[in-house]
Amino acid sequence: MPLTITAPAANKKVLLGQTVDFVGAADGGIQRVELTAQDGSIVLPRPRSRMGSGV
Amino acid sequence: MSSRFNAPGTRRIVVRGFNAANTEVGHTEIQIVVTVPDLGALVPIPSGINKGVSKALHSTMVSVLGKPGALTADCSAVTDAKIKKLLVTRSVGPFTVQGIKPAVDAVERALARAKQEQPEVVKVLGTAGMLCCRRVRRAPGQPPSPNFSNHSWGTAIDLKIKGALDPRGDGMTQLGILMISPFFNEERFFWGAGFKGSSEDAMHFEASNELVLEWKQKVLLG
Repeated sequence: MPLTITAPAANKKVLLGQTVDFVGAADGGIQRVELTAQDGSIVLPRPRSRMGSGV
Repeated sequence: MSSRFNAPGTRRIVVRGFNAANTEVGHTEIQIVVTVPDLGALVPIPSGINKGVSKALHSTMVSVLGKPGALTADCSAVTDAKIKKLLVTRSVGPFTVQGIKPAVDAVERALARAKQEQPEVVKVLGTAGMLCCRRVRRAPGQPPSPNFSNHSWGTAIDLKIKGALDPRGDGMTQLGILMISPFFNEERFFWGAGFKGSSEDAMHFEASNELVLEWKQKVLLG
C-alpha cells in the first residue's frame, strides 16, 4: 500500500471547529499528497511535512 | 496536517498521492463524523485574545464623538445631534441593530465572515442590543460610574447564544462566542472577555480605541 492514513481513526467523531490532525505514511515514490472532502463542504490544503515520502 | 470542519455530518476524505511526474500513484479514503458541540457551553477564556486592539477609552470616545446624551442608569435617548446623524438601523444578517454607521458596517462584515466560517454558530446567535445611552454598569454596592458605556454611542454590541447571555465576571465564555470572536478581531473590535476581573464581559464586543481613532482620521464620523 503506497499510501495510508494512520490518524484519525475511521469514523472518528470530532467536534465542529475542532482541529483534526491527519497523519499518514507514503512510500518513496510519492512526492505530493492531496486531501479533499468529497461533499464539497471543505477542501483541505495540501499537506507538506507529515505525509510524504518515507514519513 | 491539521484542518477544521465548519459543517456537521459525515465527511469522506479522499487522499491522493502523486509521484515526481505528478501522476497519481496512490489513493485511499477515510471517513470522519463531525458533530455540533453545545455552543452555549461555558469554556475558559483563552489567552492571546484582542491581538492588536485595546478597549475604547472613555476619554477617546468623548473627545472624538462628544457626549451622546444624559448619563442615566438605564437606556435613554441619544440627544447629541452629531451622533444622531450617524445612527443607522439595519439588518446585519441574523438580526437588526442600531448604531453609528461605521460600527454597524463592521459588525455586518464580522457576521458575514462568521456565517461563512461558522454557520452553526450564526444559526443560534442573537443580540442584547447595540445602542443604549447609559452609564457603565457596576456591581451592586459600588458607586455609580461617571462614564458612559460604549453602547451609548452605538459602537458596542452584546451577543447571545440560544437566547442566553454569558454570565459576567466568571472568566468563562460561551463556546459559540469564542468561535466567532476572531471575526470581530479582524474588524478591530475589542472583545469584553479581555476586561479584567469582575468586569470580564464575554458577550460584549466594542469598536477598539484604535478603530475609533482611525474612523476620526478617515473622517467617517462627520
